[in-house]
Amino acid sequence: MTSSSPNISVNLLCKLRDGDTLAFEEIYRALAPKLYQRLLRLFKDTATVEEIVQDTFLKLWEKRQQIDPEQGFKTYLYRIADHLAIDLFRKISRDKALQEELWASAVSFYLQTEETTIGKEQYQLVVQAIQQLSPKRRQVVLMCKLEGRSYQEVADAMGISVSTVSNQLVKAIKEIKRYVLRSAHGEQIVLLYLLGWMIIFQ
Amino acid sequence: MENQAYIKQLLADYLNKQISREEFNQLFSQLGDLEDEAFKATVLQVLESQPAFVDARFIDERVAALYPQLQAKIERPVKWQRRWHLVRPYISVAAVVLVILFTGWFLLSERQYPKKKDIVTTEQVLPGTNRAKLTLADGLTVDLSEYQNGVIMGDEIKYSDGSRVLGSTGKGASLMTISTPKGGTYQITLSDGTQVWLNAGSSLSYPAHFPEGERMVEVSGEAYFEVAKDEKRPFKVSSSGQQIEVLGTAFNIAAYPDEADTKTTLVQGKVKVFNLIAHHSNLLRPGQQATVHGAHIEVGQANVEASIAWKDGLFNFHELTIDQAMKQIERWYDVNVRYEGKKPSGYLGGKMSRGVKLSTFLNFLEQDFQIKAEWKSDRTLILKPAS
Repeated sequence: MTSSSPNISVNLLCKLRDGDTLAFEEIYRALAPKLYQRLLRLFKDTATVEEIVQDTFLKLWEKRQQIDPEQGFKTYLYRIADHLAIDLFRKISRDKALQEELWASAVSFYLQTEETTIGKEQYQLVVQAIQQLSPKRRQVVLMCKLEGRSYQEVADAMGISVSTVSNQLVKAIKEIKRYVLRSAHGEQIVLLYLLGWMIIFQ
Repeated sequence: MENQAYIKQLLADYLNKQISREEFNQLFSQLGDLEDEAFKATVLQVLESQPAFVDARFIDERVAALYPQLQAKIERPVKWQRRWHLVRPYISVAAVVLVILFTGWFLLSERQYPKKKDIVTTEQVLPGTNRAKLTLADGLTVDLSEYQNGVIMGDEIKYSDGSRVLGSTGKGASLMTISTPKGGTYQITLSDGTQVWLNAGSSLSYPAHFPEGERMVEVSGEAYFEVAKDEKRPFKVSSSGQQIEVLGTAFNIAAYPDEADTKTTLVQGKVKVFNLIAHHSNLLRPGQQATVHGAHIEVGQANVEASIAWKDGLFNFHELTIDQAMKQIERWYDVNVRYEGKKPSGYLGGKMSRGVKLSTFLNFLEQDFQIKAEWKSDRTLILKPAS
C-alpha cells in the first residue's frame, strides 16, 4: 500500500459507520485522489476511472456498517477498487474491440508522444485530431500537455478558471480519442464503444 | 519465469508511459493467456510498484468535481432522517390526509391505472433479466424463476440447476409455449437436446416430446438455436413467412412482428430456408444470412458475431441504423421510442454490454451522436437532435 496516503482516524471511521455523510466526504477527499491516480495509470481514461471511483465509494457507503475501524481501512477500500478494476482489465485483455479503445485512450492521454514511439501514422492522426479541436480546446491541450505548463498558469493566461481548464482538457482528450478510434475502423462509421458493466449493491 | 518477468516489464512500461503498438499488442496477448489468479496477481503487483506520473492538480480537480454526483447518490435517505424532528408535530394531520388520499387513490386507481407504475428516471431503468412464462397445452401458465437462466424439457420440466419446475410435461405431442416479455431472456433445452436462447419479446412453441419423422417448432421474435443432430428427424422452424429445415447446426433467427424482414444467420452446419409466400427455397452456408421480405428472399454474407452477440450479453451495433438499434433498446429496456422531427440518419458501431442502465446508453447517444433523449413517465423516450 502506498504509505503516503493520509491516515484515516478511528473516530472518523466510527462516524462513517454511523452514516455521517460529512465523514464520508472527508474520507473521499482524503483517499480518492490516490485511488484516482492508481486507476488512471491502468485505464488512461477519465470516464472509466471516474465510474470505478464512484462505484468504489458507493459500495463503501452501502457496506459502511461492516467497517471495523480498528482494521486496515485503506486496504479494505483498495480491495473494493482493485476488484472492480481487475474485472474490467480482465475483460479488456480478452476483447480486441476493448483493446482498440484502450489504445486510443493511451494515445490521446499521452499527447507529448514522440513520433518514433507510436509510429508515423498514429502520430499524424493525433496531430490531425488536435487540429480538429475548437481553438480554445486546442490552446488548452497545447499549453497543458505539450508545453507542460501548470493549470494555474494556463488559467491565468487564458483568463479562465482552473476547473474550466481541466474540464476543457478532459473534453479535448475525449475528442482526440474518438478521432483515433474512428480512424482505426475507417470511414464515416461513428463508434460507440462502451466499457459497460454493472455492479449490483446488495 | 522469464516470461513472467517479460510481462511485468511490459506492463510497467504500459502503466508509466506511451508504449508502441507492437508492445501493446504483445502485452495483451500475453495477459490474455494468463489464468485468472495469475492475471490478478501480476497486475496488482506491478500496480504497486513506483507510481510514475503525478498530475496532482488535474486529479484533485477531477476528484472534487466528481463528489456532487456521489453525494446525490448517497444522501437522499439521510436528509429525510435529519428533518424528521421538524415534521413530527404534523404527523397526525398528515396521517389523516394520507388516509383520505389513499382511499381516494384506491377507489380511482383500479379504473384509471391498470398497473401501478412509479415515476422512474432513466437512471432507474435497468436492463432486462431472466424472465419468461411457460404456457402448457391446457392453458396453464407458469412464471419462470428470475434466478434461473434456463429450463430443460424432459419427463419433468426442470431448471438448469436441476430443481423442478413442474412434475409432468403432459402428453407427447401437446404444444407448449415459452415466451419472454420485453426486457426478458431465457434459455430452453428441448426434449431432443436442442438448445434455444430466446431474446426479449419472443416466443417459442414446441411439443413436450417430438414425434417420429420430424421435429417442428415455431418461433416469433428472436432466437438462437443449437440443434441436436438427428438425421432421421429433420428439425423445422417456422416463423413469419418462412420455414427452415436443418439437420444439426447452429443458427440465429430474427422474426419480430414489428420488423418487415425475417433474418436467418447460419453459424455452422447447413440450413434450407423456404419462403412460404414465394414457394422458393435457398440453401445457406455458414456465415451467410437469408433475409425474407414478403415473397422476396436475399442471401448474403453475414456479420455472424454481430448477429449472435445478444446471446452472450452484448449489443453489437455494427452497421445498424439508429432506428434498428433503438428497436433492440426498446425490447431490452421495455421502453417506447419516438422521434421528434426527422429520424436521425447514419450508422452506429461498436459494442455495449446488455448489463448497463438505460441512462448510460443515453449519455453516449447524447455525447457521441448529439441525439438528446427526453424521458416521459410512461416509459417513452423522445429522441431529438441536441441543440
